[in-house]
Amino acid sequence: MKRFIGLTAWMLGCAVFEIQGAYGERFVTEAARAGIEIWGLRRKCPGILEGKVRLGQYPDLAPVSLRCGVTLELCETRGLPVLLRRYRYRMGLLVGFLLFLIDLFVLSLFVWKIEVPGVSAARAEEIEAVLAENGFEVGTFAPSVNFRQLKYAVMLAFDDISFVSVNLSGSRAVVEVVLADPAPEHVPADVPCNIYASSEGQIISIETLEGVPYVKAGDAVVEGQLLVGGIIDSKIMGYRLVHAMASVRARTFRTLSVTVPYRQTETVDTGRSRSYYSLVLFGHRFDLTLRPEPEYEQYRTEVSESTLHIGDNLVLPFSLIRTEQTEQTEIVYRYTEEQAREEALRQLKERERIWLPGREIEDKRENCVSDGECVRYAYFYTTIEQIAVSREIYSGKDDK
Amino acid sequence: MNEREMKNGANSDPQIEFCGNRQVLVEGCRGILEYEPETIKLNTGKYNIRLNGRELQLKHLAMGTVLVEGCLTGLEFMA
Repeated sequence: MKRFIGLTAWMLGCAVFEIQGAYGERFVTEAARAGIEIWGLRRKCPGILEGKVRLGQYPDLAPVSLRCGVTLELCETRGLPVLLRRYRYRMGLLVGFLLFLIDLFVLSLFVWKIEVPGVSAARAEEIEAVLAENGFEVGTFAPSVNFRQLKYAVMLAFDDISFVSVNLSGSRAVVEVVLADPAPEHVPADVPCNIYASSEGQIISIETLEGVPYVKAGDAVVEGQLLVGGIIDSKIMGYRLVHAMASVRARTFRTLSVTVPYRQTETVDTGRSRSYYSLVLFGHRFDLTLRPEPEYEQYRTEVSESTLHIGDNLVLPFSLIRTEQTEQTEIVYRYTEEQAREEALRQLKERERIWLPGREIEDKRENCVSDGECVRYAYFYTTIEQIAVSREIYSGKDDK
Repeated sequence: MNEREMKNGANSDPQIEFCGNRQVLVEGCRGILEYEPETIKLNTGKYNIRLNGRELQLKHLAMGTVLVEGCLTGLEFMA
């Protein structure tokens, strides 16, 4: 609030005055009665008061001072009106300022930064390439862009994108992308199909809703074996194709194993790094370093970009890219057998956590073998799971 | 004194608002009678008010409103 008041005072301009005489209080009272706003009143020394008034109200103080018998003296004038008056004959400054404003306005009509948040850098580049093909890139005149067409172009170019929105804020374009969940592989209900075994095992139960079952409970099956056929041979109607549907539960034997070598390598920073700078002007990149070749054998690269902008949305077409290469080295260390075993168990449990859902464990055994080089940890499962998988029947082609 | 007179009487009284002992706002001030860093005397019509303190300063003065800042140590109502 104080800053706002200060800014208002500066915009309107203020005059700092001094009054000398014995009737300072009377002067202040009379001025207030005359509708003159006074602030910052302080006594500099006995007989002298200093205060501030709005620049436009200062001439009104003169008759009051005469009436009260005090001497009024103008000490200083401050604020924007004073500044403008001071530079009123320097038209070049004004023209320069106006040109700057026009420049700013014109630059704000172009797109100077395109962001694609929420996706990988590689995918962002692909999306930006599609946008560029459709005439939307850094330096594009924003009012000429057909955002709806752009949106459809991106959606058509990528199958795994379900939603695209191109938002323009000032000269910054934010392309919001929602990736579609991958559709599960399934055969549409009106397409004829067979059911095969997804893995080897022993059939526990089979419930056929449609089609001809070729196996029964207790049978052993191998991966890819036909379980329920979608081709029905009828003596009355002849052959007909149906969409086979069945629930097939089987006992399967699975193994999860992890191998952890005793010799481990880890990549660490050596602490040495080198930075390169590039200047980007209107979408064109200029290297500021003469020899940007990497001088380290092994290194990691970090790139950071500082863009010149006014506020959040008005991005100017100037940016500085800093590329930092940090040298790395590999250090080698050895696990003890106990450490290797712990690490293997940890990795195995993590794999089990991802693999387990949808399976019912009937039996589980574990085995750990170690030699001079590594530790092998394995879980052997007997599980009960669904092994039915549908596959379309292609007429005229051999079904597997 | 009827209700209306009471209201009028209340309205003619100055409104004094303190913010700790650092700031005081007086509404209904008719003039400054004395202005020193240690004391400020204000005319409010019915009576005068004397503000005592250290480094007192009239921060703002307009339309019968006075804002005084400083280290206030006392307030006196004077006939």
